[in-house]
Amino acid sequence: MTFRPERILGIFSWLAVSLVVVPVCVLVVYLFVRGWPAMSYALFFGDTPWRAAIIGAQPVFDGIYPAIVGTSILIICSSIIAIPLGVFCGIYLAEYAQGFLKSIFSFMVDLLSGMPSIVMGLFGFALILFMRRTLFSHANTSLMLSAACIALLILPYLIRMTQVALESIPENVRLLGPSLGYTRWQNIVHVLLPSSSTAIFSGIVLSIGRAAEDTAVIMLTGVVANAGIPRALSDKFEALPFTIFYLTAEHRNDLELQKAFGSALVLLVLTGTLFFISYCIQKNLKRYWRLGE
Amino acid sequence: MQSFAITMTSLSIGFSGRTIIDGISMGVPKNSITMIIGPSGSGKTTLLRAVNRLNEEFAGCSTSGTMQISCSGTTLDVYNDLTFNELRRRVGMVFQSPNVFPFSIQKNLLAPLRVIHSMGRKERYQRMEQVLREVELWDEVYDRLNDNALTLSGGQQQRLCLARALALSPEILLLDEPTASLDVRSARKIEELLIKLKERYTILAVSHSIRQVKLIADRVVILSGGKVVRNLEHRDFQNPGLLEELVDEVF
Ligand SMILES: Nc1ncnc2c1ncn2[C@@H]1O[C@H](COP(=O)(O)OP(=O)(O)OP(=O)(O)O)[C@@H](O)[C@H]1O
Ligand SMILES: [Mg+2]
Repeated sequence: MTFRPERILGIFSWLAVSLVVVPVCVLVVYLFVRGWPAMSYALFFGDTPWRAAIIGAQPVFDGIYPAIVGTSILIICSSIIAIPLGVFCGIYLAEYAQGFLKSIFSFMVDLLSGMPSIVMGLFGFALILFMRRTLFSHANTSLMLSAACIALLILPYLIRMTQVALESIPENVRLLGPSLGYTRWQNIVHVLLPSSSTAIFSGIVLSIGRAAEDTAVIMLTGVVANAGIPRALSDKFEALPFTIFYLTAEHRNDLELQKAFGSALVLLVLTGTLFFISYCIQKNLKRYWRLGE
Repeated sequence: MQSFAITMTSLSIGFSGRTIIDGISMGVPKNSITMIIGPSGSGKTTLLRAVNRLNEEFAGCSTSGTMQISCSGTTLDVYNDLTFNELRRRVGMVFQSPNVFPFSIQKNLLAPLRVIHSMGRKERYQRMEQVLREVELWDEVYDRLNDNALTLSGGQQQRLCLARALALSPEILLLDEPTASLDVRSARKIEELLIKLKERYTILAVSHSIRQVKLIADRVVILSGGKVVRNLEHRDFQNPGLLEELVDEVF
């Protein structure tokens, strides 16, 4: 048998893929095996009737329903803050920034993306301390603060993805709009963004995943074990990753550990659903952009 | 005296300090076809792009000299009297290689009409059909208008680009080798179309084909090393063999 470089390269890439795929499959299967038995009414609502729990008439003490609500609101709020901001920053960096300013901003984005999430949490915490000592003596850690810190955490993904997507559009497509008389902004809206939508949306999906799983930030900025369903953005809240963390850290018997796995499975399904929704939005937008009218 | 649609005076263009167009002065007569020929890299595309200021989209482009266009009775200084967009709405362009939006065929035509002219829906569809018929593409695409324009053949894409430029009703047309990727028959059709179009537009085109130049050009500019080496009127290059001789000299 002769080993040509081509063959070795092929084997290596094959190996690399299996090294990635196998653990992912093992992980998902294991999560299902351990988490599935925990799936029960009690896991979600404890012994509270679900109608009462959903309208908030009765508190849920022993279920993860409040954590599901908390995590969902957290993801939605941080996305509302971060997605427009990130996409516009990306547009600025790719289309407007030049020379020295551009390298400064790029460096700051890199710095932000290298920031550990615990530092982001610490920043939020320090902000509250500062506010208390100055103008807002009632300021406290809350859902809003967590969402803002998470937004800061996911911003660099969104900025970079948008920037790279726009910058990789071939020259001739880039010149086409201007040659027809499009203004720079018309070119961005009608040509450049539509033709890079796939990459931008994968940035969005990535950052939603990141927002869903992060625990370090929220631990310092407002998550607690038994907050119930948040009634306002200034409330403290529960969150799935944190629930998983304390269920695991403090489990006394296998049943409680099983509950943690159940929660992990729910988190997986939740992010999966969000991915699916953004995939559908992207599909439709793309169709609209391609066909037009 | 002939009236010029485009008048350039000592126009020079450089990229990052390298001179590409070197002090060109010339006029492009109204309602006629002026063709530029010259060796590859002689600056033909750059010269065309100077007219709609597309070179200036690149960082490192420097321009000097003056250029005027005269449209609907008024003469305007390209560098001072017009914004980029006003200029480019008057000057349509077809690129050297087929350049379509990666969207559907109809969107390629309808979107610019909406963005540039804010045209109503019905009007836009009428205009689309009209220009597609004009470039003889309608019969080939009328039943697949929602397909991606990239699924068209190179020649079809090139005709789509021409249709898109025409749809926006410019006054000057810049064509960078409009028949380069067409077979002889489709090229013929485009040539016939260009002869018809010159009644309404001023056409400045780049060509590689001496046959084509002899057939449809009213005037030929031979470009070499960023300079105009010859400027020939119709009667000059009809002399058998003259154009071939000059081209042999330059290339
Ligand atoms: N955006 C740019 N940046 C830097 N240099 C450029 C740019 N555009 C063109 N040039 C240079 O200008 C010179 C002339 O290019 P141009 O495209 O005008 O040639 P051309 O005559 O159209 O050639 P061809 O017949 O091959 O299309 C080339 O040397 C090219 O490298
Ligand atoms: Mg060229």
